[in-house]
Amino acid sequence: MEKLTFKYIGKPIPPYDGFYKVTGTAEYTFDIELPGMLYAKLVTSTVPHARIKKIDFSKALQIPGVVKVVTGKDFPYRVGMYAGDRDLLAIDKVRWVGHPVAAVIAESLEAAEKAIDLVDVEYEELPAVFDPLEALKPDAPLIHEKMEEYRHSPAFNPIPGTNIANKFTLVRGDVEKGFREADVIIEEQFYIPHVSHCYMEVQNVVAHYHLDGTVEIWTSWQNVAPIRQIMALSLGIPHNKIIVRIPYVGGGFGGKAGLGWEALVTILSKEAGYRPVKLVLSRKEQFTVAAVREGFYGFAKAGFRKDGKFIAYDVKFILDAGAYADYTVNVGRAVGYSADGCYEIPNIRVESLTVYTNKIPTTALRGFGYPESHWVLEQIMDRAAKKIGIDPVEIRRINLVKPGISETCTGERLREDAGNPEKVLQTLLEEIEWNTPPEKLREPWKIRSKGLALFVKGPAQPPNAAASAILKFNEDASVDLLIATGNFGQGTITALIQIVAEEFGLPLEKVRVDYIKDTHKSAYTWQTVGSRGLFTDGIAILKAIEDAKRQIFRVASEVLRCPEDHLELVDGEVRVKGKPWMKIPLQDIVMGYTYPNGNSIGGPVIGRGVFMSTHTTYLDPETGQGNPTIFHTFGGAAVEVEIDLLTGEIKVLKVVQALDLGKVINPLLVKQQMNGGSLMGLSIGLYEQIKFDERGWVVNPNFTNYYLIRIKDIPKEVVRKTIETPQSDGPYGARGIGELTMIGIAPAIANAVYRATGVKINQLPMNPENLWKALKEQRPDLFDEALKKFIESKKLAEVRA
Amino acid sequence: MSFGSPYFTLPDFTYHKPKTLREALELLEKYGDEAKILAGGVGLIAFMKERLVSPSHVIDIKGIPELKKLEYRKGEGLVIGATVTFSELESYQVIREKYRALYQAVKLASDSIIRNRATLVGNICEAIPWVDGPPPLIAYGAEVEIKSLDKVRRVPVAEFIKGPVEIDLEPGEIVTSIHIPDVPSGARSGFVKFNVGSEFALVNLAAYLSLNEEKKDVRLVYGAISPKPVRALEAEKILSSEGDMRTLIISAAVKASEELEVISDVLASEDFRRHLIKILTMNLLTELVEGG
Repeated sequence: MEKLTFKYIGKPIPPYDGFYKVTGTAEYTFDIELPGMLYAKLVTSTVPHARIKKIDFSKALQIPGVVKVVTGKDFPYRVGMYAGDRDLLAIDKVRWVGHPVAAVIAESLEAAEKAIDLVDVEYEELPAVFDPLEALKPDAPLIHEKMEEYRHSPAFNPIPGTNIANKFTLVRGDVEKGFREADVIIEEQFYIPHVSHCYMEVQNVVAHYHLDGTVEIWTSWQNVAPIRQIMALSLGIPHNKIIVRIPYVGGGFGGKAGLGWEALVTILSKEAGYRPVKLVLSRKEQFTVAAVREGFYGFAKAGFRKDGKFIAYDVKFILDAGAYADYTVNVGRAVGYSADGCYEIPNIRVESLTVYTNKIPTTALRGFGYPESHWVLEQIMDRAAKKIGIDPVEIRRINLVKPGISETCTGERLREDAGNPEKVLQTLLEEIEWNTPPEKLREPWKIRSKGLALFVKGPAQPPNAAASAILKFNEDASVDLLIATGNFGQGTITALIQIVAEEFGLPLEKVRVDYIKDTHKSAYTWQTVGSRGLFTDGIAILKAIEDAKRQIFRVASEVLRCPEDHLELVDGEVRVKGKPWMKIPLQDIVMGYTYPNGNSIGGPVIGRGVFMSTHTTYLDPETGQGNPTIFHTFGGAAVEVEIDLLTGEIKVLKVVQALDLGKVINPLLVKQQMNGGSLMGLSIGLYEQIKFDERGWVVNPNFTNYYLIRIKDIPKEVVRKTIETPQSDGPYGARGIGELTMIGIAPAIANAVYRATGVKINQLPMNPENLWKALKEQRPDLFDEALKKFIESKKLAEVRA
Repeated sequence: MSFGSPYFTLPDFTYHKPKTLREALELLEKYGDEAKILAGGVGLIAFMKERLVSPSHVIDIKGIPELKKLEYRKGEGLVIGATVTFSELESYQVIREKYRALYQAVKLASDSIIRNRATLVGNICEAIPWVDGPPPLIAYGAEVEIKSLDKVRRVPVAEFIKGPVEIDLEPGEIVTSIHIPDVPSGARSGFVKFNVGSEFALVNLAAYLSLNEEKKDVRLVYGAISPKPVRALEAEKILSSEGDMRTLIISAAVKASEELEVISDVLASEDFRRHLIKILTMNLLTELVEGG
């Protein structure tokens, strides 16, 4: 059954949708224009925390073309995926600057944009809180008074009467005992600011509430299923009356998971007299109204024995979730149970609090808590190594988990084919030439250094997150694959097409996946998030292929008069093994086989297959013990950097990424993922930060003042290495990759800086000002020496003599 | 009222495209405050989108031939018309050879797509503190020529820019050109900016040194550090004093980092900017001295 050579699997097949994107013919939600369509525009709050006293939109209604203005009072629904804390428009009170308080619906965007300026909102301001540490204090303003009424998922633990949206705790071993036995103790605080996903296509939705009660939605989102599920549960519209369609999507990065604006726009469509309505966010609104990645604090205490063994880890994470924490409560959970990274730590205690503040709401972003936990842990490893006096590589080797033997901090014993972290580390060392000291530069105020970080990640998902696939044949034995797998640039669909073509021996162009994902027409999948699409939907597809093959072989065995197990499918034909001249072309079977006299058997072939998570559990609410995930992908990043000690500039010269993917289905797309993840990691590591002023206003809501990596910042060299330790329950042994590629970059850079200078950068971004400040505080001697060297080399030294 | 300016659309306006300067001036005269001049549009359209300005009349001057003038005359200097783009300046040989500070500023400004569209006159009329056009112009002692229906006047760029988005221009007037004096042979100039992790400069600096004559003429102009570009007069004085230039650089750089009013904003803190002023000044001056 195991094939040794493949026609498509493992081959660099170009993305199936490249043609449409390159020719500009790919259709996005933004391109959807329906007859009679109206445009919506949001009126947003100018204050961070206030009661709404009055909304006067009479002047707005006088603008020609304005159809209606609606406010939160008109439809007091609560919606959400996990915390269930969100409103559609502010009800009674606003919770952040940018909170939508009203929506204008008009015949044109021009009219709608004119009208929003004429909606007067009167606020009674309430004390606001912007820092999660402040928000935890007993006398802090309460942001959600009715938390106990929210319909939250059982996996979470909100604390009504406080600003804690979720409290996650994990206890394993005896951390106090561990510290007593420790020879070296490291205590550090870390910080990561809010960042935006910066996908190219802004969030936009078209919804049409039909007179018969059917709702049709087009949206730029990652997944169709949760939109339908959440809308059905919170708006009371029956599931089968909600049709969600997602065409091509210009990027998601986690920011388009769960539910977006679909429920709001659906209601607007109804309010506007059952006419279709379109809402498009501007880039500014992406930074001030839509959800972004949370701000993050990490307080860590780590104990090591002098032989390098990591024996105690006590860590507290505090997530600045902003005004709504619907999705971020799960980030808070994931950052908690990933605290141990890829190390065996016998005694560990984790508390992770997801905290409300009067800032922009937050959500998932590529990596989902793992970049945060690893930003802390991977720097701890280097700090400990230095204190103990061993190499950063050595301390990692000593503590690395051993698949098949080790248990993670949730008590999950790693399967023996989970991957080869040791080989990941070895690959990094070879490619970054760890033992070759970096070049000394002619400009002696600049130094070069190398650093690395390891990581591991699995999908953060409910234990019952399923996937399914349907495939049906056309008369010419071409295949339509009906799947809901999100297609927002990752390349998963191309890999899934390769699988179908491989298994049936068909040319790639005979396998079609509709670019539109549709709750009505595509087979169910829970969500395409957490790097899980290829794994979960790939398995469902393999099961569907098996199902279809069984039907095909049953018919063929009758026609060819031999047992089914004597048959094989090669190049689009069913053949008798060993007698390849005895064969039937697939197209003679897939609609049923007809004998020369007209008698027919079989019938149209439809394959169905499902994936259901195996052995996953909820985590114990007291101890955090259980099996949270379906696979772990191990990986690592190494960098070589050049540090300008005078300006604080860090230039990344070389990036190495190594990942144990089990099996590479498409090396071209894997390389692209590794490039993209490296750059996103660099961008968030070095530059990105949403800045707030003391009123809670975002002061850089645009790409002029929110800097995103540019072509000139790209390292000369990005080395991409894959390791293949197949996981027996994965498709061809494969594991997920998408998010993994950005987790290790930031800590690797910080470790490189620390290694060369001893300067700790505990806070992102590592931009020139932040490094300059850290350098001045921690190593003023180094800074003065650099300046001296500059003056000497430029022969300016005699100046004051 | 909403937070920010979330608009896709522009406010309503009437678009005019005059063929002559006279026609443009007449339109300006007629509409006064209600009118705005459109050249490259890089500033105006963004401002209109943000609702910072909402002119009811937009007068596009790109169709006026005489504003395309780009000309150098020995002894007189360089004339840059109001619709000359950064890209056109970048490929003009004289600028590359004689006006190095301007050349480097133009080359480093924004990206090539913007440079194809943006004009230098627009860059100074925008009067945004972080842009790269003004410092070299001030270092060269450039003037703008301003025309209205009944008069022509010239104002030094240093005075023309009064503050953030504030310029010395009356209703009815158009900036038609920039005039940069000829540079004496042996004079050197250069431009440097620090914009790592930033679209705009955190600090930029144009320096001009003329050491040939008896009297040293040194000008240091800093942008992005204060509401308008400023000269570091004390530092210039140090550099103009007796002695080997090289030995004066450090004290001048230190002086410049101390003597100026410096702001904190979304791009950088005051402290970091002062530090960068010191480092950039040392770097650029060393480069200019070495280059000679």
